[in-house]
Amino acid sequence: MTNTNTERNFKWRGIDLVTTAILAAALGVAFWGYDVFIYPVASTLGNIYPPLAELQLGVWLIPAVLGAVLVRKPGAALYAELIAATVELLLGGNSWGWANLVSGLAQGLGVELVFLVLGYRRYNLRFAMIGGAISAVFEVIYEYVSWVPEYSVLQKAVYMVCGVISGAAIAGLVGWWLVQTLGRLGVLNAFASGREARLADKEELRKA
Amino acid sequence: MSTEVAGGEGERQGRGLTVSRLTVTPFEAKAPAISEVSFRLEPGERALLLGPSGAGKSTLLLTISGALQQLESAEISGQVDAPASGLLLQNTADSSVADTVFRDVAFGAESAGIPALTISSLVSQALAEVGLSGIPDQRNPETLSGGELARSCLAGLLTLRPQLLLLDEPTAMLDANSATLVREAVKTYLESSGANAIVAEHFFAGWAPMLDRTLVLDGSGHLIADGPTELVLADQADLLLSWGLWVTEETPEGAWKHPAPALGLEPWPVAAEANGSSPASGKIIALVGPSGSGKTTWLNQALGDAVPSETGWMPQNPLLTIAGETVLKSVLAPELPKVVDKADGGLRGRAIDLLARLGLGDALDQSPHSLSGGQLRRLALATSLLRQPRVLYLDEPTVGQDAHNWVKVTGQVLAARDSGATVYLATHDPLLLEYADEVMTFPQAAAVHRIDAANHNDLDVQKVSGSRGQLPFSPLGLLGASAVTLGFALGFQSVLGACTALILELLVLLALMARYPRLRHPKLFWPVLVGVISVWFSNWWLSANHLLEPAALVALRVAFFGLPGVLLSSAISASSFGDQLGQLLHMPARPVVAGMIGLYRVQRLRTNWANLVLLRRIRGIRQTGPIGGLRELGTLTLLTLVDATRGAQQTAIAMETRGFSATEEEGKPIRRSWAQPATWGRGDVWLLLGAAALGLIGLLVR
Repeated sequence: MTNTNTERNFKWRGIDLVTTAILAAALGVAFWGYDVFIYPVASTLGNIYPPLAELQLGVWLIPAVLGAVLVRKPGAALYAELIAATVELLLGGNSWGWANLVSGLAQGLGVELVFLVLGYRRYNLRFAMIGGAISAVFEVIYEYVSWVPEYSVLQKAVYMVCGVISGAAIAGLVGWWLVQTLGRLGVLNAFASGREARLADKEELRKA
Repeated sequence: MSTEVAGGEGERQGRGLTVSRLTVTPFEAKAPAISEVSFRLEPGERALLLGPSGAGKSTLLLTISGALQQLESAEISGQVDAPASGLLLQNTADSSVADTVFRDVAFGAESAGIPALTISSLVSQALAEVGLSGIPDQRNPETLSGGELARSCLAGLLTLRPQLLLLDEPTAMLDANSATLVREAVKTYLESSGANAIVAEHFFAGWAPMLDRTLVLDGSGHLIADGPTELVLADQADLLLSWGLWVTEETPEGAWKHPAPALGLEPWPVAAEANGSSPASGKIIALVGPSGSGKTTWLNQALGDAVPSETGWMPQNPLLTIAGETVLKSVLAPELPKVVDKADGGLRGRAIDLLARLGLGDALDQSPHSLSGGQLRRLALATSLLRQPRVLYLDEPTVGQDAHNWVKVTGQVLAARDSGATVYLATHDPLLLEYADEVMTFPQAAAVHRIDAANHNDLDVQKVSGSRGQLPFSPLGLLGASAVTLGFALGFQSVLGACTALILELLVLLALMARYPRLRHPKLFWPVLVGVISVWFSNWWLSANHLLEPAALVALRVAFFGLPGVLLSSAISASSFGDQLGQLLHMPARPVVAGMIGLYRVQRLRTNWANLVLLRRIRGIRQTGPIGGLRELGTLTLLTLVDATRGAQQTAIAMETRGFSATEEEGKPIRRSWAQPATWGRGDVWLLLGAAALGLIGLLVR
């Protein structure tokens, strides 16, 4: 009756599902906080040159990266992002309506694709950032069709670059950092990702 | 797992419980939490499980229930031969997995794949067994009192007729009356079913008479006593007392009463000079009333008006007070020295002194996240006392404290009063209530749901059920209509067509808003208006040849597919959406169910967030400015996620103990059933047709 989880197991446990769902919902609530603290400032800056506003894109991609890095199972990014998008939709106060879910789908699939290529086996900061970047690519392509179809080619390129930088820098970094921090605090001991973060932290302490 | 559907009473004999040489070592623990534990309960036997804080009682119950194995964060050796069991956790709020009492109680039966018709009779039977037939089963569990919630959770276990009940501190957070009702409910079930039971409880006097066996774990997780309850309690009385267990005068040997709290305390220096009152003016005012009686509203009001520098607040969720990497830093908070009077150099010394008085002197350099619930509460109390406030608001300070720590906590409360502070005290603890100078009673309010005026589109306001204002369409209908509008909108080619479609859509939406008051949220128009204008502007400005018309077309499209969702989604109920995804679209049940639970938690997460903001304002540690705001946001997000993760783990355990991950029973696969049917009505068809018609108009008019 030993319980070391050495072999990869892609079957979702109850705790994987519910932790991802609740964390995604919590991030949905944090988005709402973001609207209060940051969004007014950031949007004002964005109006000077609209593609700059796309530098915020990464914020909305955090759940996908966090889900993937936390659970390490197929579908985690998509699941987390769709739930966060639904929460945002239900809390209201934005202009996107159910198009939120299309965005959520695109964003989740972007991160999902990166970890699929990696066989859901390799998780580190670099891949988290690549995940965030590809997620941004997917989202921006969707926005090309629906939100900014009239932009000139040059402006579309700038738009893409801003989105990708944000996806990597915000979603990748913050998503990764959140899982590491929660793991170090010891609240993710039921997850391989959390246990690794906790052990890495102890290792560092020992060296210091 | 046993899922017998047949009626309640009967001579069903369980197979008893055998635990042999069970050793459990939690992840990264140096020593096992329970060590070589062996015992056997014969069918029908019931045991009391005792031990000091941290003795591994919860670990033992979790392992027997099988939930710990699901968490994969412990090394387990030895054998457990247990029948299907039901585990009741102390934290009942996190055990709730639905937005109505009915769904919550039905959860286990759904996991077992029992058909909906049978489920509803099982649910009413279980609710009757725990004495809750009186409450409407469509009530939101979050509006129940602690005692009702505990019984409702118990009912959720009873639907599956478990042959073993495991209760982890089931009455620790309840007042005396509620605790009695929970015990009665357990007793009724055990007598009618002949099931086994193990009850872990610090405050065990009320339980002892109905539990024939007593098991005692020592601090290192060894089973050191096992025998008839009376005998064990008599033999081990001194040991139990030394552990701070609540051996009250009702126990057979009856030697112990709670010690006088004045024992060995010195009041901290008087804060009274700030307000010119004399120390004698301090008093304790108890806030008494059932959940939903307006206590919380009153408290929020008072805190909102409070002068931060004169106020201390210990919130019910002590996790919110964490503000640093170590216990000491958390009390002092890195931001604090900047805002507190610089002359007050004694803050650090006072913090250390307070922590020592509250039994945390050895934990100064520990991470606050490693503390137990009881320790965290004492940390929160120390934090609220640090600035020697004139007015103190304390929410359940004694929950989870053993007798030793209870004395320390109560001592500090009394010391605050004796120093001139006015202490507002919300508590269910009858022993603590004895020290109240005044009592403020909140009568049961007529309306039980929370109304948050600022946020009309709250997820839980819609849960106020009843057919009044019932919407004619469902979430899935709305989703479908939104998809249709999106599809058509992308094909719009002329401004005239798009304009026509949009105007007609607006008329339909306005008509719906006129007909259904709960859709009237004109505020929701603003973000759409701003969004549409900025889409138009940017698509014009940044286009290759600066034509107004194509840009306007893009903006009209966005408005056309965005509006219905923005205006109608506020009325959506997460649970009926889940029902539809599972039953109509046949999506996999487990992810859908877990997702619904995530949505149900949103309201509580928002309340937590708001409390966190309030608490940091009162403590004077709120950061402002562009960089400060960003850091503040980071702090709030991280603490919210920590709290959510801890809660999620409890929720996962509560789900597993109700068979959430069970995939087969006696070789037959289980398909999760749905207790409530999904709705799909004529209104949904009309909504889809309407969306398609508007889309066609937009496409065809040129």
